[in-house]
Order: sequence, then C-alpha cells, then structure tokens
Amino acid sequence: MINYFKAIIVGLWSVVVGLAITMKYFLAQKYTMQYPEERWTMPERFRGQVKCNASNCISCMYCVNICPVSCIKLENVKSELPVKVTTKEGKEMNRIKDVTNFEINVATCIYCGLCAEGCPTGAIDMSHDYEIACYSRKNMVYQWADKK
Amino acid sequence: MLKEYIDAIKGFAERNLPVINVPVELWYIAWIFIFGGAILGGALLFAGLGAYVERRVAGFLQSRLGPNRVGPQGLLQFMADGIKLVLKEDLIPDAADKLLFRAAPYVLFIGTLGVFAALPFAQNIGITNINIGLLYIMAISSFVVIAIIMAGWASANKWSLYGGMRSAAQIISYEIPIGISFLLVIMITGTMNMHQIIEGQAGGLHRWFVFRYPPFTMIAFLVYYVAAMAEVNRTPFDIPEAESELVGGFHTEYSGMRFAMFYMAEYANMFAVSAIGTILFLGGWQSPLPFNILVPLGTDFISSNQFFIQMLIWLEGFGWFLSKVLWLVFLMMWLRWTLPRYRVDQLMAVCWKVLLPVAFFNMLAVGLWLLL
Repeated sequence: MINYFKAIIVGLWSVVVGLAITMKYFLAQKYTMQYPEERWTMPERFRGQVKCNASNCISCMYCVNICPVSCIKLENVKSELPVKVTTKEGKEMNRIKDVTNFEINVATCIYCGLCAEGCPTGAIDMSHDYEIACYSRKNMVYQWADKK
Repeated sequence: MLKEYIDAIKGFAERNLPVINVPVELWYIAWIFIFGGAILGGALLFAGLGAYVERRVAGFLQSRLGPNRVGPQGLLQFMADGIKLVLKEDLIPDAADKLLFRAAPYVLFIGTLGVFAALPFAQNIGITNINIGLLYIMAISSFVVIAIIMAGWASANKWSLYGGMRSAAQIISYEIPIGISFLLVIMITGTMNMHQIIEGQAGGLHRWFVFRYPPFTMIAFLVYYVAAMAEVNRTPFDIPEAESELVGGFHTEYSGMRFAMFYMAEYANMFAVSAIGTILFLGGWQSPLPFNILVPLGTDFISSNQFFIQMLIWLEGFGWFLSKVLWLVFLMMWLRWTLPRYRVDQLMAVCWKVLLPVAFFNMLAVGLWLLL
C-alpha cells in the first residue's frame, strides 16, 4: 500500500521534473539559423565552387590533366603579343597563348581542389561559394573565358 | 438560451421592421445555421491555430524555432497546410469499406462539435443552456470513439484496426474516471447545468472547485485532466496512433481533407476538454480577481450605456474563460513534448489501478465532507 502511493507521488514528481527541464529549453536560446538572412562564415580552407580568372591563365594544362573527373575543358590560340603575368611566387612570366574556352562542369566537379593547388599563376581558385544549385544541367557548366 | 436570443431578435425585428412578418420556425432555422456556422468557424479556427501553436511550442521546447515563414511569425502556416491538404489526392483503399470510410470523419466531427453546443463561453453567452449539460457532453463525446473504430475498421488495414481497437479500449476505460470526476462536481453543486455550475463558483479564487475542498477536488481535477488527455489521444496516451508502432494508427489510410478533419478534430477536442475542465474546476468565466477590470475603464472613458457595459462584462468573462482554457491547452502541448508514450498495459494500469480507485475514494471523501 505504501509502495502504491509512493509510486504515484514519484511518478507525478518525475512529470514535474520533466516539465521543468523542457521549460528550461523553451526559454533558452534557439539554435536555428534563419538561412537566407543569416549565413555561416566559412572556414578559410573551405573548398566551394571553382572560380577562374582566365586572363591570368597561361594554358599550361596542369588543371586539365590533374582533374580526377575531367570536368575542366580548356582551348587556346597563340596570342599575337606575349602578355606579362605574375605567378603565385611573385615572378613575372610571359603568357604566349590566349584562352578561348575555359569550361568547368560543376555537376561533375568533386571539389578536391587539386587544380587550384597546382595552378602556377593562381588563375583557378576554390571560392567559398556553396550556393550552386540550379534548374538545368546546362547551367552547371560555367564559362570562364570569352569564346572567340 | 437559444429561445431567448430568438425572441429578443424577433421582438427587435417586429418593432423596427414592421414589414417583415416571418414565421417563428424560420427564425429557428436561421439561428441554427448561424450558430452552427459560428461553432464550425470558431472550432476550425482554433484547430488551425492550435496546430500552428503546437508546432511552434514543439520547436521552442527543442531549441529550434518552428514554422515562422508564412505570414507574421508563421501565423498563416495553417492556411498553407490547409491548401496543401485540399489539393491532395483523395485516396480510398480498394479493400476499404467505402461507406464507413467516408462517414468516419463526419461522425468524428459530430462528437467534437456537439460538445461546443453546450459550453458556456461567458455570462449568458453560449449556444444552448440545457439543464443536463454535463450528461449531454458525456454522451455526445462518445461519438468520437465510434468514429475512430469506424475509421480503423473501414481502412481494411491491420495497423488501423489495431489503432481503432486500442482507442476503443482506452477511451471507454478513461471515461469512467472522467465520469466520477463529473459526479463529484454534480454532488457539490447539485446540478448538471453548466451555467449553474459556474455560478456556484462565483466569489473569487478560493471558491473555485479546485480549491474548494482541499485536497480532494484538486485531486479530482488532476484525475480529470489526465483522463481527458487520454480521451483526446494526446501523448503520453496516444497509443491509438502511435507512429512508431502503428504507422498512423486509425488514420493511416486517410489523406487529403479527410485526414485534415481528423487532425482538426484532435485540436477541437483539446479545446473542448480543456473548456470542460475550466468550467467544472477552474470557475469558467469567473474572474480570479475580486473586481472587474474592463467595466470601470469603460464607464470612465467611453460610455455608461447599459448595453455597452453588458458587452464589457461579457468580454471580460470570455477573456478569463479563454485564458484559462488556453493555459490548459498549452499544458497539454507542454506535456506532449516532455513525456514518452505509455505501453498499452501501462496505459490500462494507470487507468484501472490508479485513476479509478483514487477518483472513487475521492468522491467518497467529498461525499462525507458534504454530509458532515
């Protein structure tokens, strides 16, 4: 008989304790991020979408060859006049080819970052941009040079 | 009460609009439609907002925000949900008993909305004033269990059938402690009329039945509240629709608007049982304060018209009623997101081994108190 009443009282008390705990969370700070208005600041080495600066590209074909999924396409012509470009180390060198077509297919890209790591002039780089969803496959292919 | 309204309006019409000579039956029919529409609109609005508030409370209790995009603070979320449910395909399983399957949501609504007809919302404000109000509520709310069994059986699905069976066992069991809690109030007041029960609690906080015969009526209120939570299938007593065991229980096969009716009936039922708890134990529209708030303000600053003052009194009563009911509804939501679900045998044990004997001895004790 004593156990019976004890069980009832302990049960009711545990409900009260539970309610107190949930109320604590009810009043506490919320952790939901309101996405389009609030965004994460990405870590420095985050590898987002690949961005290019075709005017810096010397057409060494390093990125095309190293890409594990072959998502980079590069076409060029010989330029009339050599253009000076600066490498990552700060040295100056002559660019003797003009890029006519620089395509990156983001749909197949695996964001490994090998192209950006080896690029001598820093023409290709990993950005912090992660909003790359779009409505068609065509839009996933990014053109980074003016087609001639 | 309905008749009083009709007579008042009819008198007003005859005095001011001498051309109109409408037979009294037509007035009755018109008023039935108006009140029916009012109940339906009010109950559905509460159900929609209740679903939104439930999701919001659930979010807050789990350190997230819940729906806050549609409308200001997400208040119009229920409209978006409603539009989505209306546009859904209305699917009836091949093996289902078509007639019962279609009828179940309507029967459920009869049980849910029928209760609202007998609730007093404020002084002299209510749809009807029947002298056996409590008995009527007890009786008409049993439609809910019939509808749930109908839905479970007609779906031709073993999970639904289990849900229906469990629900029948649960609701019928828990109706007994509820009945005994009702009896206790009837013993104290000597009436089943809801208005008279509330008037018996006039005169401040200590006159409410929860605090009247300590600790017995308080225990009775607790018993009523727990059993009522089981009546409306809320967690921790939601085994008829236990997602993890029975998919969706009795409404597994329902989709679109039929599902929405089950969903809305759940919230309307929550309001109904909270309102009954408020009326029986928390003084209904009686104010806990010894003075009126709105009436002196109104007479001082706006007008001292008799009709206007009456409106203020009603408004204040309705405000107190609503705030008590909504507090009980919030408590139900709070409990839902705090406690896990009972096992079937535990559920039955709570009813037959705890609530029933406690309620019974409670009634005996109050009876003795009243005698001595």
